[in-house]
Amino acid sequence: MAGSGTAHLRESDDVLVRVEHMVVEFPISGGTVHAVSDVSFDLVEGETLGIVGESGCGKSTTARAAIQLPKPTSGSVWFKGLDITKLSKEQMRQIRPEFQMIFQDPISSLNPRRTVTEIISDGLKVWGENDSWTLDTIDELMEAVGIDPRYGERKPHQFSGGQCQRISIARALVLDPKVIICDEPVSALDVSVQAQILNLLEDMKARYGVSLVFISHDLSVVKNISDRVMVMYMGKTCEVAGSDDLFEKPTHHYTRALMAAIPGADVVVEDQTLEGELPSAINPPAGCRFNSRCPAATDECRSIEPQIREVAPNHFVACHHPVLT
Amino acid sequence: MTETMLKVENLAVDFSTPAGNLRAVDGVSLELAEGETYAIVGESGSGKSVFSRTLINLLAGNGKREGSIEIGGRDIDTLSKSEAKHFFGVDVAMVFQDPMTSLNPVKRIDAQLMEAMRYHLKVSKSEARERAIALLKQVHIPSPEQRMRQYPHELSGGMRQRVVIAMALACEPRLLIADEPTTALDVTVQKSILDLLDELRIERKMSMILITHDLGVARGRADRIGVMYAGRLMEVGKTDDLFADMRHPYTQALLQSIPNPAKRSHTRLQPIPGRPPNLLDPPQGCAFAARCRHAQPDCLNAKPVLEGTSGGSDDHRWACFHPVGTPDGDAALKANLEAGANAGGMSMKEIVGELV
Amino acid sequence: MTNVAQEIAVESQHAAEAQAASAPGAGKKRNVVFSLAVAWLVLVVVLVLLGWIFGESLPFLRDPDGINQDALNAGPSWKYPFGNASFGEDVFSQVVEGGRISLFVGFAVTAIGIGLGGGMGLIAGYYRGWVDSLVRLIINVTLSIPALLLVIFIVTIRNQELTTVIFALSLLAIPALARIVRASTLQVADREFVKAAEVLGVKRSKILLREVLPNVMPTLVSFAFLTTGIIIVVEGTLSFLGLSVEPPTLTWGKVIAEGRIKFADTPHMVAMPGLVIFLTVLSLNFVGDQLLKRFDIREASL
Ligand SMILES: Nc1ncnc2c1ncn2[C@@H]1O[C@H](COP(=O)(O)OP(=O)(O)OP(=O)(O)O)[C@@H](O)[C@H]1O
Ligand SMILES: Nc1ncnc2c1ncn2[C@@H]1O[C@H](COP(=O)(O)OP(=O)(O)OP(=O)(O)O)[C@@H](O)[C@H]1O
Ligand code: SF4
Ligand code: SF4
Ligand SMILES: [Mg+2]
Ligand SMILES: [Mg+2]
Repeated sequence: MAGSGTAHLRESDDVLVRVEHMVVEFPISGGTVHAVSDVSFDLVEGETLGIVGESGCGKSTTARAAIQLPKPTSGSVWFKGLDITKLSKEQMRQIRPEFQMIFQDPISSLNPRRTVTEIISDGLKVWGENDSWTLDTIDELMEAVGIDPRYGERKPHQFSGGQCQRISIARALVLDPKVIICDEPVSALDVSVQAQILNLLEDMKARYGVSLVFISHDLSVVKNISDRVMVMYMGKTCEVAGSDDLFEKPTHHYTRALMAAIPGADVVVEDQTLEGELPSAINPPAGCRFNSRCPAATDECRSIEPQIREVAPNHFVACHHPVLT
Repeated sequence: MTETMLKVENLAVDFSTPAGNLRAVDGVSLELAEGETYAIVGESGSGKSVFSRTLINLLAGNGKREGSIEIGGRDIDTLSKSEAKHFFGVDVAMVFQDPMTSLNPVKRIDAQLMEAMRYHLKVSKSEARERAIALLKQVHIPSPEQRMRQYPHELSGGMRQRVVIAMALACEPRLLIADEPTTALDVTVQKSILDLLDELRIERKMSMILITHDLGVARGRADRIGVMYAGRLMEVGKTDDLFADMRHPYTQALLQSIPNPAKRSHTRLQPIPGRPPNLLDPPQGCAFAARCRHAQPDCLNAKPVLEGTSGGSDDHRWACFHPVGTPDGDAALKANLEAGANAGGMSMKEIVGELV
Repeated sequence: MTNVAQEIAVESQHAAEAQAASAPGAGKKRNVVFSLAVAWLVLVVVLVLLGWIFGESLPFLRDPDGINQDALNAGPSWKYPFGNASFGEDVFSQVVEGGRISLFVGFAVTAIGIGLGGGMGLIAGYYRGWVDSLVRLIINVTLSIPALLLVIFIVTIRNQELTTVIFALSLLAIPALARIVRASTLQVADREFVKAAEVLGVKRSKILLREVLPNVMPTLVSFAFLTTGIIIVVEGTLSFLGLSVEPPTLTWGKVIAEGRIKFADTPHMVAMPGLVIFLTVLSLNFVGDQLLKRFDIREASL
């Protein structure tokens, strides 16, 4: 298979989540949407994994399927020695508190008819108080995320977008989770507010020891917050590397095109523009899925799918002809 | 020196709202030469859209304009009704953020393109069709003859924006106003659209006002930049000058708040604390004073005006009493750091964090 | 044309703001009408209830069948505000008594419609899958049967009892409400706060009750008012045709039907109850409509 493989998975003891050969397909009238096709990744304790790629490449679907929302079509997700794709609905519900999520639209992700305190303490009401938080210490948590506890009785629409995102973060933190999936948490925010939320996520990660999966289409943001970055294209993995490493030496042609597109920045790659349209996810190209737009595509690329391999220490790429410097 | 394409003088826009008067644009003046790109940058609600719409006389019913707008040497107030009809959309055209707002969803692309040309330019049907095909080619739409027969919803977001640009260009405008033309699009698509606009601008010697909230976009594409805040221009200048020699505390704060891909990961960002002022109840002094790291007591009483190395094309001006990079500004910053708060009472720890 | 398209776009974008700014009087006028509508509904309901409980012991009510030789077919007067019927019966008292059945049917059918139809719509819209397919099938089948004919059919083959009428009319209300509630639920269930509750590990049944239902409620309440109005009209029609509850029980439709027989002598017997029905239904529609708008605006400003 192309753009697939598991060479980049790590064998260390502190691997928290390990996703192997995950496939997500949506049947629709007139075919099947191949949203995620054989993607593998892992997350080490305390790490931030960034996932970047264009709209529709399957970032959200990948992250959501990892926490079984919905279950992937095939593949396994290992957590604490369990393959959670095999769990029953109720068993899965029991471990939900370990995985939390923050959504893109800060306002739509809060119930407009409940108060902020209700929203934040909801997790405790479902699961009971835990070692970190109790109903009495909710105020402390609100302060930690920068919401004045005196405003606890207000409804979400009385807050700005940035404040709503803080509330979402508190709602996720209250369950003392191991992993928080952040699905474009700053994309809907104004530039000056974006920085506040990014800083808050960094602080919370350090303070409460959670691991983050951070999804964004903005490379600058992903670089800033991530330890490791996975680049996706049409449901496939292109490149996985440490954040700084990836930006210094992008080797996949798609990664390079993305970097050339960062507006107004001095980046290491030559100027290039992606030609052509994104192919249909119902009928993806054979071989490397990027071959219809890749400047270096060869016949090999059109027939054989590249496997992920290590091209430099801890730098993995799925490409027949990577740019190695 | 080339000819002046757009000259705006002391433009102000007031909206009457149930909650009182709202001044969305306040005393904006700028000049744009032929073939130049002028970027207006600012946060949400700073008045960018109101400003750009006012330029093409598209003011909401409750709005009132003051000040003059001259396009291609013609004061738009002196246009008769029938002249205006063939002026806006012909000499001046606009591209909006959401392409769907400018496209009629139930009409094919060709019909929409040709209608504008036939109405404004009085060309024959076959000529209009030929021109439409040429235009779609120019905006890099592959197989335009087939694409023309499609409806807007059958195209991708990037394609749609290209069609909208083609429509805006249909009557060969001399001034193009683009209000966040790429905000809704992917970075790679954004790049191709901005490349396209650049190419067309150079080819046709067209001038362009590029509205964006992204300093990166402005930096990469504009000859000049105007930084807007609460309806006022805070700093204006040539792009290179502005970045090399940043004078306004707001411009500086804005730049520090966005992640820079050239810096290492986990580089701490410095957000701008607080919020922009309420335009219904604007502050008496500098609009940025509450959040400004240089703010001194005098900033709270009077509004600074744009000044600096003015004169022709080297124009770099800023509206600040204690600008960055001047002894006065440094002293103001030092005084605030010592006092622990700026003149507006905001804690300096919040404003500068670990930067100083 | 580019310009026109742009103009429309801009206009609609700021329409709400501009409208609020340019016509501050319009909102106030609507508030007055809203209060009037509510006042009328309260008045009607209170009068009917009082009549039910205290009957003729009230000073303004008489026996609706009481014969009065002095006022045969008399028009409205101070003493008899709605006039008198062929044997001098007090039409006002007839209308007050008729209201019992008319209103009761309206409310009962709406309650059943909300309970069953609303419940179906809620479950279908949230759980999707086969439940949804089944509910959609039921809705589509029932809605494609000519409704009024079905009701007439049921009432004629069974005895004309109150329960039959309510049963028959419920068949109209249930699928209609189920459809509206399902659509609204689909919309709410798509919002991210519902996903967020799932991520928290809240049980699905609890999510439905705590996250989804409260957000569907506004639509439900507004449509309850509209439905009540429609049912009152339909029940009136049935009564008028003699297909509702059997005589001697009075309903609004029946008073009208009686007035129609000797329309030349007793036009007020058609006009007065007609006016009551008209105003009641109009008020119900207006209140429902306004509630919908108010909730919508609150949502939009979120
Ligand atoms: N429920 C669904 N039914 C059918 N297709 C779906 C569904 N959810 C997602 N898809 C499709 O799967 C693909 C991946 O979608 P996904 O939302 O994961 O992309 P993304 O990378 O998160 O994009 P964005 O940046 O726009 O959020 C897209 O082609 C999308 O249309
Ligand atoms: N018709 C109107 N009536 C009243 N206020 C208005 C009207 N149009 C705009 N405003 C106000 O004017 C201010 C400037 O709005 P504008 O849309 O120009 O901001 P912007 O800089 O384009 O922001 P964004 O980046 O969000 O598009 C805002 O406070 C807005 O609420
Ligand atoms: S070189 Fe081939 S394998 Fe590599 S990205 Fe291009 S098309 Fe894919
Ligand atoms: S120093 Fe004063 S005038 Fe200058 S930006 Fe700050 S508050 Fe405004
Ligand atoms: Mg997504
Ligand atoms: Mg705008």
